[in-house]
Amino acid sequence: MDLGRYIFRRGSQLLPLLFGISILAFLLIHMSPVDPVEARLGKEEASLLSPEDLAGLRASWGLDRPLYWQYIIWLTHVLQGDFGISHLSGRPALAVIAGCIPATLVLMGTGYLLVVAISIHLGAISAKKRDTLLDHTCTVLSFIFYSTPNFWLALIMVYLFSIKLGLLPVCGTASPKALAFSLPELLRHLILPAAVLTLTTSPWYIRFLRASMLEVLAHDYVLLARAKGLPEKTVVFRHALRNALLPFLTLLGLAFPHLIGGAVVIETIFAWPGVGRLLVESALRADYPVVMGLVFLLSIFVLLGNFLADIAYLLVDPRIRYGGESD
Amino acid sequence: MNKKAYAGACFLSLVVLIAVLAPHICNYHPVDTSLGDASLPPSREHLFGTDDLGRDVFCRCVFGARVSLAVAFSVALITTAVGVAVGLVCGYTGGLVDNILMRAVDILNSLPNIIISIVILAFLKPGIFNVLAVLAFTGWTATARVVRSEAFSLKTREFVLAARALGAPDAHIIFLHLLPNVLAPALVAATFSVAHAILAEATLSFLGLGIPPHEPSWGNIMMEEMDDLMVGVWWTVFFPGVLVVSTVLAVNFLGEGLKDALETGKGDRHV
Repeated sequence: MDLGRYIFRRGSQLLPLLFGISILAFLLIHMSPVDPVEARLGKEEASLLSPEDLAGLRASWGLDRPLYWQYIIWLTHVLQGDFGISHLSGRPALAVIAGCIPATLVLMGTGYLLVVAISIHLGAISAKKRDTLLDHTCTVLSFIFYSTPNFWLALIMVYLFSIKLGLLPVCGTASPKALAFSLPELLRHLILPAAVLTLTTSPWYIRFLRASMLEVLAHDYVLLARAKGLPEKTVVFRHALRNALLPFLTLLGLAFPHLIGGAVVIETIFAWPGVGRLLVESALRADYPVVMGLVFLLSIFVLLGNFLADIAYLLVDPRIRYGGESD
Repeated sequence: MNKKAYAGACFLSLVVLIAVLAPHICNYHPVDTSLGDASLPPSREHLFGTDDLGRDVFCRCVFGARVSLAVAFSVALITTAVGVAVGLVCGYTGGLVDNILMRAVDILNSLPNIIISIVILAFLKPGIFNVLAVLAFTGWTATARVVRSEAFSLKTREFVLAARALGAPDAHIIFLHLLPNVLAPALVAATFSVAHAILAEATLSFLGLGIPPHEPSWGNIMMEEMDDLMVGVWWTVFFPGVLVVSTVLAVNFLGEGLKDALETGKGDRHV
Protein backbone atom coordinates (compact mmCIF):
# COMPACT_ATOMS: atom_id res chain seq x y z
CA MET A 1 0.00 0.00 0.00
CA ASP A 2 1.49 3.34 -0.93
CA LEU A 3 1.71 6.25 1.40
CA GLY A 4 -0.97 8.40 -0.22
CA ARG A 5 -3.57 5.68 -0.10
CA TYR A 6 -2.70 4.85 3.49
CA ILE A 7 -3.09 8.47 4.52
CA PHE A 8 -6.41 8.64 2.71
CA ARG A 9 -7.68 5.45 4.33
CA ARG A 10 -6.50 6.46 7.78
CA GLY A 11 -7.91 9.95 7.32
CA SER A 12 -11.30 8.70 6.18
CA GLN A 13 -11.60 6.79 9.47
CA LEU A 14 -11.65 10.11 11.28
CA LEU A 15 -14.99 11.15 9.80
CA PRO A 16 -17.19 8.46 11.41
CA LEU A 17 -15.43 9.18 14.71
CA LEU A 18 -16.23 12.88 14.50
CA PHE A 19 -19.78 11.95 13.52
CA GLY A 20 -20.08 9.81 16.65
CA ILE A 21 -18.66 12.55 18.83
CA SER A 22 -21.08 15.08 17.36
CA ILE A 23 -24.07 12.81 18.09
CA LEU A 24 -22.98 12.32 21.69
CA ALA A 25 -22.37 16.04 22.12
CA PHE A 26 -25.77 16.86 20.66
CA LEU A 27 -27.54 14.37 22.93
CA LEU A 28 -25.75 15.78 25.99
CA ILE A 29 -26.84 19.31 25.08
CA HIS A 30 -30.35 18.11 24.33
CA MET A 31 -30.63 16.54 27.78
CA SER A 32 -29.28 19.64 29.50
CA PRO A 33 -31.71 21.80 31.43
CA VAL A 34 -30.82 24.92 29.44
CA ASP A 35 -33.33 26.32 26.98
CA PRO A 36 -31.94 26.31 23.41
CA VAL A 37 -33.26 29.79 22.67
CA GLU A 38 -31.40 31.15 25.68
CA ALA A 39 -28.35 29.21 24.58
CA ARG A 40 -28.37 30.88 21.18
CA LEU A 41 -29.38 34.42 22.14
CA GLY A 42 -28.01 34.71 25.63
CA LYS A 43 -30.20 34.90 28.73
CA GLU A 44 -30.76 38.64 28.73
CA GLU A 45 -32.00 38.96 25.17
CA ALA A 46 -34.21 35.89 25.45
CA SER A 47 -35.93 37.37 28.52
CA LEU A 48 -36.92 40.46 26.52
CA LEU A 49 -38.91 38.48 23.97
CA SER A 50 -42.65 37.90 24.19
CA PRO A 51 -43.98 34.32 24.34
CA GLU A 52 -45.24 34.62 20.74
CA ASP A 53 -41.81 35.75 19.54
CA LEU A 54 -40.21 32.87 21.41
CA ALA A 55 -42.59 30.39 19.81
CA GLY A 56 -41.84 31.92 16.41
CA LEU A 57 -38.11 31.61 16.98
CA ARG A 58 -38.50 28.00 18.11
CA ALA A 59 -40.36 27.18 14.92
CA SER A 60 -37.88 29.01 12.68
CA TRP A 61 -34.96 27.22 14.35
CA GLY A 62 -36.66 23.87 13.94
CA LEU A 63 -36.97 23.22 17.66
CA ASP A 64 -40.47 21.84 17.09
CA ARG A 65 -39.16 19.30 14.58
CA PRO A 66 -38.15 15.71 15.34
CA LEU A 67 -34.87 15.05 17.11
CA TYR A 68 -32.86 13.95 14.06
CA TRP A 69 -33.90 17.11 12.23
CA GLN A 70 -32.78 19.22 15.18
CA TYR A 71 -29.49 17.40 15.09
CA ILE A 72 -28.98 18.25 11.42
CA ILE A 73 -29.75 21.92 12.08
CA TRP A 74 -27.39 21.93 15.06
CA LEU A 75 -24.65 20.27 13.04
CA THR A 76 -24.87 22.80 10.19
CA HIS A 77 -24.44 25.58 12.75
CA VAL A 78 -21.48 23.82 14.36
CA LEU A 79 -19.82 23.21 11.01
CA GLN A 80 -19.98 26.96 10.40
CA GLY A 81 -18.23 27.51 13.72
CA ASP A 82 -21.42 28.64 15.46
CA PHE A 83 -21.55 26.96 18.86
CA GLY A 84 -24.01 29.46 20.32
CA ILE A 85 -23.59 32.34 22.74
CA SER A 86 -21.69 31.95 25.98
CA HIS A 87 -24.07 32.55 28.90
CA LEU A 88 -21.31 33.96 31.05
CA SER A 89 -19.78 36.54 28.74
CA GLY A 90 -22.56 37.04 26.18
CA ARG A 91 -20.04 36.62 23.36
CA PRO A 92 -20.03 33.85 20.74
CA ALA A 93 -18.63 30.67 22.29
CA LEU A 94 -16.06 30.26 19.54
CA ALA A 95 -14.64 33.74 20.17
CA VAL A 96 -14.40 33.04 23.91
CA ILE A 97 -12.53 29.81 23.20
CA ALA A 98 -10.21 31.41 20.65
CA GLY A 99 -9.24 34.05 23.19
CA CYS A 100 -7.95 31.35 25.51
CA ILE A 101 -5.86 29.43 23.00
CA PRO A 102 -2.61 31.48 23.13
CA ALA A 103 -2.13 31.01 26.89
CA THR A 104 -2.70 27.27 26.59
CA LEU A 105 -0.28 27.04 23.69
CA VAL A 106 2.43 28.74 25.73
CA LEU A 107 1.93 26.43 28.71
CA MET A 108 1.48 23.21 26.76
CA GLY A 109 4.26 24.02 24.29
CA THR A 110 6.70 24.58 27.14
CA GLY A 111 5.47 21.44 28.88
CA TYR A 112 5.78 19.42 25.68
CA LEU A 113 9.37 20.49 24.99
CA LEU A 114 10.40 19.82 28.59
CA VAL A 115 8.71 16.42 28.67
CA VAL A 116 10.41 15.37 25.44
CA ALA A 117 13.85 16.59 26.50
CA ILE A 118 13.67 15.13 30.00
CA SER A 119 12.20 11.78 29.07
CA ILE A 120 14.67 11.13 26.25
CA HIS A 121 17.63 11.96 28.48
CA LEU A 122 16.53 10.21 31.64
CA GLY A 123 15.05 7.25 29.78
CA ALA A 124 18.23 6.64 27.80
CA ILE A 125 20.59 7.09 30.74
CA SER A 126 18.40 4.99 33.00
CA ALA A 127 18.47 2.12 30.50
CA LYS A 128 22.19 2.46 29.87
CA LYS A 129 22.99 2.35 33.58
CA ARG A 130 20.44 -0.35 34.30
CA ASP A 131 20.22 -1.50 37.94
CA THR A 132 22.58 1.16 39.20
CA LEU A 133 21.71 3.62 41.94
CA LEU A 134 20.89 6.21 39.26
CA ASP A 135 18.44 3.90 37.54
CA HIS A 136 16.73 2.94 40.79
CA THR A 137 16.41 6.56 41.90
CA CYS A 138 14.98 7.47 38.53
CA THR A 139 12.51 4.58 38.68
CA VAL A 140 11.31 5.36 42.18
CA LEU A 141 10.98 9.08 41.43
CA SER A 142 9.07 8.29 38.23
CA PHE A 143 6.64 6.13 40.16
CA ILE A 144 6.18 8.76 42.84
CA PHE A 145 5.45 11.58 40.41
CA TYR A 146 3.27 9.27 38.33
CA SER A 147 1.17 8.66 41.44
CA THR A 148 0.99 12.31 42.46
CA PRO A 149 -2.18 14.29 41.77
CA ASN A 150 -1.09 17.33 39.75
CA PHE A 151 -3.28 19.72 41.73
CA TRP A 152 -1.66 18.67 45.00
CA LEU A 153 1.86 19.07 43.62
CA ALA A 154 0.83 22.50 42.35
CA LEU A 155 -0.49 23.55 45.77
CA ILE A 156 2.61 22.31 47.56
CA MET A 157 4.92 24.09 45.12
CA VAL A 158 2.92 27.30 45.40
CA TYR A 159 3.18 27.04 49.17
CA LEU A 160 6.93 26.44 49.08
CA PHE A 161 8.11 28.75 46.33
CA SER A 162 5.53 31.53 46.42
CA ILE A 163 4.21 31.78 49.93
CA LYS A 164 7.14 30.59 52.08
CA LEU A 165 10.11 31.66 49.97
CA GLY A 166 8.41 34.43 48.00
CA LEU A 167 10.44 33.60 44.90
CA LEU A 168 7.74 33.13 42.32
CA PRO A 169 4.28 34.57 41.67
CA VAL A 170 1.26 32.61 42.95
CA CYS A 171 -0.85 32.71 39.79
CA GLY A 172 -1.81 34.52 36.60
CA THR A 173 0.33 35.42 33.60
CA ALA A 174 1.53 38.88 34.69
CA SER A 175 1.63 40.89 37.86
CA PRO A 176 -1.37 43.18 38.35
CA LYS A 177 0.89 46.24 38.31
CA ALA A 178 2.32 45.47 34.89
CA LEU A 179 0.96 47.83 32.25
CA ALA A 180 2.39 46.30 29.13
CA PHE A 181 3.26 42.78 28.13
CA SER A 182 6.74 41.78 29.20
CA LEU A 183 8.38 38.49 28.36
CA PRO A 184 10.42 38.12 31.58
CA GLU A 185 7.21 38.58 33.60
CA LEU A 186 5.45 35.91 31.57
CA LEU A 187 8.35 33.49 32.00
CA ARG A 188 8.45 34.08 35.75
CA HIS A 189 4.75 33.22 35.93
CA LEU A 190 5.24 30.24 33.65
CA ILE A 191 7.84 28.45 35.81
CA LEU A 192 5.53 26.85 38.38
CA PRO A 193 2.69 25.70 36.09
CA ALA A 194 5.14 24.38 33.50
CA ALA A 195 7.15 22.58 36.18
CA VAL A 196 4.07 20.86 37.60
CA LEU A 197 2.86 19.88 34.12
CA THR A 198 6.28 18.47 33.24
CA LEU A 199 6.86 16.64 36.52
CA THR A 200 3.51 14.87 36.43
CA THR A 201 3.54 14.10 32.69
CA SER A 202 7.16 12.96 32.16
CA PRO A 203 7.30 9.77 34.30
CA TRP A 204 5.20 7.77 31.89
CA TYR A 205 7.43 8.74 28.95
CA ILE A 206 10.64 8.12 30.89
CA ARG A 207 9.45 4.60 31.73
CA PHE A 208 8.42 4.01 28.15
CA LEU A 209 11.71 5.14 26.64
CA ARG A 210 13.67 3.15 29.22
CA ALA A 211 11.79 -0.03 28.29
CA SER A 212 12.19 0.70 24.61
CA MET A 213 15.93 1.34 25.06
CA LEU A 214 16.42 -1.90 27.02
CA GLU A 215 14.76 -3.82 24.22
CA VAL A 216 16.96 -2.20 21.57
CA LEU A 217 20.16 -2.64 23.59
CA ALA A 218 19.60 -6.41 23.55
CA HIS A 219 19.70 -6.51 19.73
CA ASP A 220 22.54 -8.04 17.74
CA TYR A 221 23.49 -4.84 15.97
CA VAL A 222 24.23 -3.24 19.33
CA LEU A 223 26.41 -6.20 20.20
CA LEU A 224 28.13 -5.82 16.85
CA ALA A 225 28.71 -2.13 17.40
CA ARG A 226 30.26 -2.93 20.77
CA ALA A 227 32.35 -5.75 19.25
CA LYS A 228 33.67 -3.35 16.67
CA GLY A 229 35.12 -1.45 19.58
CA LEU A 230 33.00 1.65 19.14
CA PRO A 231 32.97 3.96 22.15
CA GLU A 232 30.03 3.25 24.48
CA LYS A 233 28.63 6.72 23.87
CA THR A 234 28.38 6.12 20.14
CA VAL A 235 26.79 2.73 20.69
CA VAL A 236 24.15 4.07 23.04
CA PHE A 237 23.30 7.37 21.47
CA ARG A 238 23.98 6.67 17.79
CA HIS A 239 22.91 3.08 17.39
CA ALA A 240 20.49 2.31 20.17
CA LEU A 241 18.73 5.58 20.92
CA ARG A 242 17.80 6.22 17.30
CA ASN A 243 15.94 2.96 17.12
CA ALA A 244 14.43 3.28 20.56
CA LEU A 245 12.96 6.61 19.52
CA LEU A 246 10.80 5.03 16.82
CA PRO A 247 7.97 3.81 19.06
CA PHE A 248 8.49 6.94 21.15
CA LEU A 249 7.46 9.06 18.18
CA THR A 250 3.94 7.66 18.13
CA LEU A 251 3.74 8.34 21.79
CA LEU A 252 4.61 11.99 21.29
CA GLY A 253 1.57 12.40 19.06
CA LEU A 254 -0.48 10.97 21.87
CA ALA A 255 1.08 13.38 24.34
CA PHE A 256 -1.43 16.05 23.38
CA PRO A 257 -4.40 14.51 25.24
CA HIS A 258 -2.06 13.72 28.12
CA LEU A 259 -0.93 17.33 28.37
CA ILE A 260 -4.35 18.88 27.89
CA GLY A 261 -5.72 16.63 30.62
CA GLY A 262 -3.04 17.98 32.95
CA ALA A 263 -3.45 21.54 31.74
CA VAL A 264 -7.16 21.54 32.67
CA VAL A 265 -6.33 21.19 36.36
CA ILE A 266 -3.09 23.15 36.43
CA GLU A 267 -4.54 26.15 34.59
CA THR A 268 -7.41 26.21 37.07
CA ILE A 269 -5.09 26.35 40.06
CA PHE A 270 -2.69 28.90 38.64
CA ALA A 271 -5.49 31.04 37.15
CA TRP A 272 -3.73 30.61 33.82
CA PRO A 273 -6.17 32.04 31.25
CA GLY A 274 -6.20 29.05 28.89
CA VAL A 275 -8.78 26.64 27.50
CA GLY A 276 -8.37 24.21 30.40
CA ARG A 277 -9.44 26.77 32.97
CA LEU A 278 -12.20 27.91 30.62
CA LEU A 279 -13.51 24.34 30.48
CA VAL A 280 -13.64 23.95 34.25
CA GLU A 281 -15.21 27.38 34.82
CA SER A 282 -17.80 26.85 32.10
CA ALA A 283 -18.58 23.37 33.41
CA LEU A 284 -18.99 24.63 36.98
CA ARG A 285 -21.27 27.47 35.86
CA ALA A 286 -23.24 25.49 33.26
CA ASP A 287 -22.06 27.51 30.25
CA TYR A 288 -22.93 24.67 27.86
CA PRO A 289 -22.21 26.33 24.49
CA VAL A 290 -18.59 26.91 25.54
CA VAL A 291 -18.27 23.41 27.06
CA MET A 292 -19.52 21.71 23.92
CA GLY A 293 -17.44 23.92 21.65
CA LEU A 294 -14.37 22.95 23.64
CA VAL A 295 -15.27 19.26 23.53
CA PHE A 296 -15.58 19.44 19.78
CA LEU A 297 -12.39 21.39 19.11
CA LEU A 298 -10.26 19.44 21.59
CA SER A 299 -11.36 16.08 20.24
CA ILE A 300 -10.56 17.23 16.70
CA PHE A 301 -7.08 18.18 17.90
CA VAL A 302 -6.60 14.86 19.67
CA LEU A 303 -7.70 12.88 16.61
CA LEU A 304 -5.48 14.99 14.37
CA GLY A 305 -2.56 14.41 16.74
CA ASN A 306 -3.06 10.64 16.55
CA PHE A 307 -3.37 10.86 12.78
CA LEU A 308 -0.14 12.86 12.40
CA ALA A 309 1.68 10.51 14.78
CA ASP A 310 0.67 7.55 12.63
CA ILE A 311 1.87 9.28 9.47
CA ALA A 312 5.15 10.31 11.10
CA TYR A 313 5.72 6.76 12.27
CA LEU A 314 5.07 5.54 8.79
CA LEU A 315 7.58 7.95 7.32
CA VAL A 316 10.42 7.00 9.65
CA ASP A 317 9.75 3.27 9.71
CA PRO A 318 9.02 1.91 6.24
CA ARG A 319 8.50 -1.60 7.62
CA ILE A 320 5.02 -0.67 8.80
CA ARG A 321 4.05 0.88 5.50
CA TYR A 322 3.80 -2.46 3.81
CA GLY A 323 2.37 -4.50 6.62
CA GLY A 324 -1.27 -4.38 7.60
CA GLU A 325 -2.42 -1.80 10.08
CA SER A 326 -3.49 -2.85 13.48
CA ASP A 327 -6.33 -1.31 15.36
CA MET B 1 6.62 -11.29 43.52
CA ASN B 2 9.08 -8.49 44.07
CA LYS B 3 9.63 -6.42 47.17
CA LYS B 4 7.91 -3.31 45.84
CA ALA B 5 4.75 -5.26 45.13
CA TYR B 6 4.80 -6.72 48.65
CA ALA B 7 5.31 -3.31 50.19
CA GLY B 8 2.48 -1.98 48.04
CA ALA B 9 0.13 -4.77 49.06
CA CYS B 10 0.96 -4.31 52.75
CA PHE B 11 0.43 -0.55 52.67
CA LEU B 12 -2.81 -0.89 50.77
CA SER B 13 -4.13 -3.46 53.25
CA LEU B 14 -3.21 -1.11 56.08
CA VAL B 15 -5.12 1.78 54.51
CA VAL B 16 -8.13 -0.45 53.86
CA LEU B 17 -8.00 -1.69 57.46
CA ILE B 18 -7.86 1.86 58.80
CA ALA B 19 -10.79 2.86 56.59
CA VAL B 20 -12.86 -0.10 57.79
CA LEU B 21 -12.06 0.56 61.45
CA ALA B 22 -12.47 4.33 61.11
CA PRO B 23 -14.97 4.89 63.96
CA HIS B 24 -12.73 2.93 66.36
CA ILE B 25 -9.57 4.80 65.44
CA CYS B 26 -10.84 8.36 65.57
CA ASN B 27 -11.34 10.31 68.77
CA TYR B 28 -13.21 13.03 66.91
CA HIS B 29 -16.12 13.14 64.54
CA PRO B 30 -15.02 14.07 60.98
CA VAL B 31 -17.64 16.79 60.51
CA ASP B 32 -17.98 18.14 64.08
CA THR B 33 -16.69 21.68 64.23
CA SER B 34 -15.00 23.27 67.20
CA LEU B 35 -14.07 26.85 66.44
CA GLY B 36 -11.98 27.14 69.59
CA ASP B 37 -9.52 24.61 68.11
CA ALA B 38 -9.38 26.17 64.63
CA SER B 39 -6.21 25.79 62.53
CA LEU B 40 -4.05 24.07 65.15
CA PRO B 41 -0.74 22.69 63.83
CA PRO B 42 -0.05 18.93 64.08
CA SER B 43 0.40 17.83 67.69
CA ARG B 44 -0.03 14.71 69.81
CA GLU B 45 -3.67 15.66 70.35
CA HIS B 46 -4.37 16.30 66.65
CA LEU B 47 -1.98 14.15 64.63
CA PHE B 48 -2.56 16.02 61.35
CA GLY B 49 -3.64 19.30 62.99
CA THR B 50 -7.07 20.88 62.65
CA ASP B 51 -8.72 22.88 59.88
CA ASP B 52 -10.23 26.38 59.93
CA LEU B 53 -13.44 25.03 61.51
CA GLY B 54 -11.56 23.12 64.20
CA ARG B 55 -12.22 19.71 62.63
CA ASP B 56 -9.53 17.08 63.22
CA VAL B 57 -7.72 16.55 59.89
CA PHE B 58 -6.58 13.03 60.78
CA CYS B 59 -10.15 11.90 61.39
CA ARG B 60 -11.33 13.59 58.22
CA CYS B 61 -8.61 11.75 56.29
CA VAL B 62 -9.51 8.41 57.89
CA PHE B 63 -13.20 8.83 57.10
CA GLY B 64 -12.25 10.27 53.70
CA ALA B 65 -10.38 7.04 53.00
CA ARG B 66 -13.70 5.19 53.28
CA VAL B 67 -15.30 7.31 50.57
CA SER B 68 -12.26 7.51 48.31
CA LEU B 69 -11.46 3.79 48.50
CA ALA B 70 -15.10 2.73 48.19
CA VAL B 71 -15.43 4.79 45.02
CA ALA B 72 -12.12 3.54 43.63
CA PHE B 73 -12.80 -0.15 44.26
CA SER B 74 -16.36 0.05 42.96
CA VAL B 75 -15.16 1.78 39.82
CA ALA B 76 -12.47 -0.86 39.33
CA LEU B 77 -15.02 -3.64 39.80
CA ILE B 78 -17.47 -2.18 37.30
CA THR B 79 -14.86 -1.22 34.68
CA THR B 80 -13.27 -4.66 34.89
CA ALA B 81 -16.59 -6.49 34.56
CA VAL B 82 -17.66 -4.35 31.61
CA GLY B 83 -14.19 -4.34 30.05
CA VAL B 84 -13.84 -8.12 30.25
CA ALA B 85 -17.34 -8.71 28.85
CA VAL B 86 -16.88 -6.28 25.96
CA GLY B 87 -13.33 -7.45 25.29
CA LEU B 88 -14.31 -11.13 25.18
CA VAL B 89 -17.29 -10.57 22.92
CA CYS B 90 -15.35 -8.30 20.58
CA GLY B 91 -12.26 -10.48 20.44
CA TYR B 92 -14.16 -13.73 19.99
CA THR B 93 -16.93 -12.74 17.60
CA GLY B 94 -15.19 -9.99 15.63
CA GLY B 95 -17.16 -8.55 12.72
CA LEU B 96 -19.85 -5.92 13.08
CA VAL B 97 -20.27 -6.09 16.87
CA ASP B 98 -16.53 -5.72 17.32
CA ASN B 99 -16.44 -2.84 14.87
CA ILE B 100 -19.23 -0.91 16.58
CA LEU B 101 -17.92 -1.42 20.11
CA MET B 102 -14.36 -0.56 19.17
CA ARG B 103 -15.52 2.67 17.49
CA ALA B 104 -17.28 3.49 20.76
CA VAL B 105 -13.93 2.93 22.48
CA ASP B 106 -12.27 5.23 19.94
CA ILE B 107 -14.85 7.95 20.59
CA LEU B 108 -14.31 7.74 24.35
CA ASN B 109 -10.56 7.80 23.81
CA SER B 110 -10.66 10.90 21.62
CA LEU B 111 -10.58 13.01 24.77
CA PRO B 112 -8.71 12.51 28.04
CA ASN B 113 -10.92 10.82 30.67
CA ILE B 114 -10.66 13.79 32.99
CA ILE B 115 -12.17 16.10 30.34
CA ILE B 116 -15.03 13.72 29.52
CA SER B 117 -15.74 13.41 33.25
CA ILE B 118 -15.75 17.18 33.73
CA VAL B 119 -18.11 17.67 30.78
CA ILE B 120 -20.58 15.01 31.86
CA LEU B 121 -20.52 16.15 35.49
CA ALA B 122 -21.25 19.66 34.29
CA PHE B 123 -24.68 18.35 33.31
CA LEU B 124 -25.21 16.35 36.49
CA LYS B 125 -25.31 17.24 40.16
CA PRO B 126 -22.21 16.47 42.22
CA GLY B 127 -22.60 13.34 44.31
CA ILE B 128 -21.00 10.00 45.00
CA PHE B 129 -23.22 8.06 42.64
CA ASN B 130 -22.65 10.42 39.70
CA VAL B 131 -18.89 10.39 40.22
CA LEU B 132 -18.93 6.63 40.32
CA ALA B 133 -21.04 6.40 37.18
CA VAL B 134 -18.87 8.86 35.25
CA LEU B 135 -15.59 7.20 36.26
CA ALA B 136 -16.99 3.79 35.31
CA PHE B 137 -18.27 5.15 32.00
CA THR B 138 -14.86 6.55 31.03
CA GLY B 139 -12.72 3.80 32.57
CA TRP B 140 -13.70 0.51 30.94
CA THR B 141 -12.04 1.09 27.56
CA ALA B 142 -8.47 0.25 28.63
CA THR B 143 -9.49 -3.15 30.05
CA ALA B 144 -11.69 -3.87 27.03
CA ARG B 145 -8.76 -3.26 24.68
CA VAL B 146 -6.36 -5.49 26.60
CA VAL B 147 -8.89 -8.32 26.95
CA ARG B 148 -9.96 -8.02 23.32
CA SER B 149 -6.45 -8.47 21.99
CA GLU B 150 -5.89 -11.43 24.34
CA ALA B 151 -9.14 -13.06 23.25
CA PHE B 152 -8.26 -12.35 19.64
CA SER B 153 -5.02 -14.30 19.85
CA LEU B 154 -6.52 -17.03 22.06
CA LYS B 155 -9.28 -17.90 19.66
CA THR B 156 -6.84 -19.29 17.10
CA ARG B 157 -5.08 -21.46 19.69
CA GLU B 158 -5.37 -25.23 19.42
CA PHE B 159 -7.45 -25.79 22.55
CA VAL B 160 -10.09 -23.35 21.36
CA LEU B 161 -10.11 -24.83 17.87
CA ALA B 162 -10.41 -28.29 19.41
CA ALA B 163 -13.36 -27.22 21.57
CA ARG B 164 -15.01 -25.73 18.54
CA ALA B 165 -14.38 -28.81 16.46
CA LEU B 166 -16.07 -30.87 19.17
CA GLY B 167 -19.12 -28.69 18.73
CA ALA B 168 -18.90 -26.64 21.95
CA PRO B 169 -21.32 -23.68 21.92
CA ASP B 170 -19.87 -20.14 21.85
CA ALA B 171 -20.93 -19.43 25.43
CA HIS B 172 -19.07 -22.53 26.60
CA ILE B 173 -15.90 -21.46 24.78
CA ILE B 174 -16.11 -17.89 26.04
CA PHE B 175 -16.75 -18.79 29.68
CA LEU B 176 -14.69 -21.93 30.10
CA HIS B 177 -11.80 -21.45 27.70
CA LEU B 178 -11.31 -17.73 27.11
CA LEU B 179 -12.38 -16.22 30.43
CA PRO B 180 -9.87 -18.10 32.64
CA ASN B 181 -7.07 -17.08 30.30
CA VAL B 182 -7.85 -13.37 30.26
CA LEU B 183 -8.20 -13.12 34.03
CA ALA B 184 -4.50 -12.42 34.54
CA PRO B 185 -4.31 -9.34 32.29
CA ALA B 186 -7.73 -8.27 33.56
CA LEU B 187 -6.46 -8.40 37.14
CA VAL B 188 -3.49 -6.21 36.24
CA ALA B 189 -5.79 -3.76 34.44
CA ALA B 190 -8.14 -3.76 37.44
CA THR B 191 -5.28 -2.89 39.77
CA PHE B 192 -4.24 0.06 37.65
CA SER B 193 -7.83 1.23 37.37
CA VAL B 194 -7.98 1.45 41.18
CA ALA B 195 -5.01 3.84 41.02
CA HIS B 196 -6.61 5.85 38.22
CA ALA B 197 -9.92 6.04 40.03
CA ILE B 198 -8.35 7.32 43.28
CA LEU B 199 -6.56 10.09 41.35
CA ALA B 200 -9.61 10.90 39.23
CA GLU B 201 -11.97 11.08 42.20
CA ALA B 202 -9.53 13.32 44.07
CA THR B 203 -9.15 15.59 41.06
CA LEU B 204 -12.89 15.88 40.35
CA SER B 205 -13.74 16.49 43.99
CA PHE B 206 -10.95 19.03 44.17
CA LEU B 207 -12.42 20.89 41.17
CA GLY B 208 -15.79 20.94 42.95
CA LEU B 209 -17.42 18.57 40.45
CA GLY B 210 -17.03 15.42 42.49
CA ILE B 211 -18.11 14.41 45.94
CA PRO B 212 -19.83 17.26 47.83
CA PRO B 213 -18.02 18.64 50.91
CA HIS B 214 -20.37 17.31 53.59
CA GLU B 215 -19.01 13.83 52.83
CA PRO B 216 -15.24 14.04 53.36
CA SER B 217 -13.14 12.42 50.66
CA TRP B 218 -9.41 12.92 50.12
CA GLY B 219 -10.11 15.23 47.19
CA ASN B 220 -12.69 17.52 48.75
CA ILE B 221 -10.76 17.88 52.03
CA MET B 222 -8.00 19.51 50.00
CA MET B 223 -10.48 21.56 47.97
CA GLU B 224 -12.10 23.01 51.07
CA GLU B 225 -8.87 23.93 52.78
CA MET B 226 -6.63 25.15 49.98
CA ASP B 227 -7.27 28.82 50.73
CA ASP B 228 -5.66 28.28 54.12
CA LEU B 229 -2.31 27.69 52.41
CA MET B 230 -2.12 31.45 51.85
CA VAL B 231 -2.03 32.05 55.59
CA GLY B 232 0.53 29.32 56.21
CA VAL B 233 -1.80 26.48 57.22
CA TRP B 234 -0.15 23.70 55.21
CA TRP B 235 -1.20 20.60 57.12
CA THR B 236 -4.81 20.54 55.93
CA VAL B 237 -3.67 20.13 52.32
CA PHE B 238 -0.38 18.31 52.85
CA PHE B 239 -1.56 15.20 54.75
CA PRO B 240 -4.55 14.18 52.59
CA GLY B 241 -2.28 14.60 49.55
CA VAL B 242 0.42 12.41 51.08
CA LEU B 243 -2.24 9.76 51.67
CA VAL B 244 -3.36 9.95 48.04
CA VAL B 245 0.22 9.75 46.72
CA SER B 246 1.24 6.86 48.95
CA THR B 247 -1.92 4.85 48.33
CA VAL B 248 -1.76 5.34 44.56
CA LEU B 249 1.95 4.53 44.65
CA ALA B 250 1.22 1.33 46.59
CA VAL B 251 -1.44 0.31 44.07
CA ASN B 252 0.88 1.06 41.15
CA PHE B 253 3.71 -0.98 42.69
CA LEU B 254 1.29 -3.82 43.25
CA GLY B 255 0.10 -3.56 39.64
CA GLU B 256 3.64 -3.58 38.26
CA GLY B 257 4.51 -6.56 40.45
CA LEU B 258 1.42 -8.48 39.33
CA LYS B 259 2.24 -7.65 35.72
CA ASP B 260 5.78 -9.01 36.04
CA ALA B 261 4.69 -12.09 37.97
CA LEU B 262 1.84 -12.98 35.63
CA GLU B 263 3.79 -12.33 32.44
CA THR B 264 6.60 -14.68 33.39
CA GLY B 265 4.01 -17.39 34.04
CA LYS B 266 2.62 -17.03 30.53
CA GLY B 267 3.63 -20.60 29.57
CA ASP B 268 1.35 -22.46 31.93
CA ARG B 269 -2.17 -21.38 31.19
CA HIS B 270 -5.48 -22.97 31.97
CA VAL B 271 -6.75 -24.95 29.06
